[in-house]
Amino acid sequence: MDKQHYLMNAGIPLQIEASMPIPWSSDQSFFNPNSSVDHHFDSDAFALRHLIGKLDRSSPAALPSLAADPGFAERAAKFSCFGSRSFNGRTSSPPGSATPGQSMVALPRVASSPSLKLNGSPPPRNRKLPGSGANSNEESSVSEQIPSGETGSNSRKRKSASRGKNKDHRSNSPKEDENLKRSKQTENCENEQECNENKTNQKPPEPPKDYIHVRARRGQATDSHSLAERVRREKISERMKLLQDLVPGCNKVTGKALMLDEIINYVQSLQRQVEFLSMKLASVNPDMENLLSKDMYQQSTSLPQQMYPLDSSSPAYYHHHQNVQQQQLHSTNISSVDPLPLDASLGIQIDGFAQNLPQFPAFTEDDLHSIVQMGFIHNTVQNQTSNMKVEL
Amino acid sequence: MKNPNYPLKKRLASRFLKALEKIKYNMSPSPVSIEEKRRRHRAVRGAAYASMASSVGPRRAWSRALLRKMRERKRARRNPRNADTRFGLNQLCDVVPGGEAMDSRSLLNETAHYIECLVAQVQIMREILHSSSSSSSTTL
Repeated sequence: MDKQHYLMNAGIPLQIEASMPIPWSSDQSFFNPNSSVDHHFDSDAFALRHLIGKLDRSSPAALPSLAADPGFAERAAKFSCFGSRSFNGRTSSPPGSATPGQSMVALPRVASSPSLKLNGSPPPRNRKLPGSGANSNEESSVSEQIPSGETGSNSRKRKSASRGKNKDHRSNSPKEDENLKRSKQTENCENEQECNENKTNQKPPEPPKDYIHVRARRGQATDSHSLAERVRREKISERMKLLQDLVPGCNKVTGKALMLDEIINYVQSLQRQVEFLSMKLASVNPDMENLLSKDMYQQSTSLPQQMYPLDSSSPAYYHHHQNVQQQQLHSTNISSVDPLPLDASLGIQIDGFAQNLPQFPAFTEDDLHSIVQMGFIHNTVQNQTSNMKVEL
Repeated sequence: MKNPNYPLKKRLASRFLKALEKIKYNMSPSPVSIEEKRRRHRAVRGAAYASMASSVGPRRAWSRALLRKMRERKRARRNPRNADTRFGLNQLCDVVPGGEAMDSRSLLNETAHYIECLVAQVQIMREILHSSSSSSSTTL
């Protein structure tokens, strides 16, 4: 029949999944092993011809269905045009796999024109298939299409496999990458996860809508890759959940993009607070003794009973040190004290920010640090304090 | 999130106070030019971030990045340029210092820890302010 003939020339076997489930179902098994492999172009083509042969046999059943299928060319166009389709599919599809029908209805219109552009020769919006450029596309798409019950994963796999031989798709790949990245960062991760899972599945794809939505990256979508990517993505979402706990008020927000925005806002607000507080602190008159004592005291009181070997002695310890601090503040002479090499490096680092570098900060640092490290250098600090000018 | 993170807060408080001491030690009394104010402000802010970074130490990528920048700044300070490279805190990949060189997962980790530290630092600064303001009011 001329239609069949035309289709065969165009390289598109008839495939209406709804109309011809049975003759193609046997092909699913045939395709499945192939789809798992990345670059089995030959097998795809071979399978295609096999199917076309089958098509001849079943042509009477196929042709009318082909003729009857309104969306066939559109679907074919869909498959041939990855990037734009995937983008459209992503943006228009509800999260998760919703009803295929509506998306199928929605998508073909959108994608067909870009696919047309892509192929160079705009096919009419009906059965007429694009020119030679579409041949391989159609083949690949059809080969993916043919098993009626294919899940999106399978078709995606084949797509990526057949992609290698489709030059037309190269222009799509950056778009797809972009889309994939975008989807990764935006909140279509559900789609992507689904698609990744689908990629790894060896089952035949379901309605083409699923497999159109998520385009495999060019040359990607081997099992290991998609698996690894999925694992990575899951880890990232774990971290995002952790961050969600940290950032207040993030529980209601869902989705990666919004979460990221919230996090960024929160961090920026914290930094602004630091700026603001630092400005205020800079303008406050130095009142360090009270500051120190109060703050140290607050710290000590806020501490749970940690590594205190001698609880009874600790308050005395603190007061002692506070006094020492005050004395140091007043006196410029610290020669009596030997600075512990506790945090010499740190002192240096912080020194870099002071306008001048008096000597005693190193010492105070050590001292304070010893206070801070509550039980670690307890003895050493006490020894040190015994050397100080001021004693309790 | 360690809630509340006592060891971290202690370290932060101690270092920040030390740095503040250093700064205030050199502060001249009241009449101060705007430039001086700005310098002090920057110094305090730098001290805040420096104390954060040094109390965390090289354990975290963001603190390492901060420390690196501090050292660079310190060297640059020899030439009195006072370049206002704001501690390189820009946007998330950039908000967390040193974020450009991280992959997303570790970037999120770093962000979490960075948020913790920031929160602790802000609390400390607030406490300092309150205590100093209250004490100053009382001493007046």
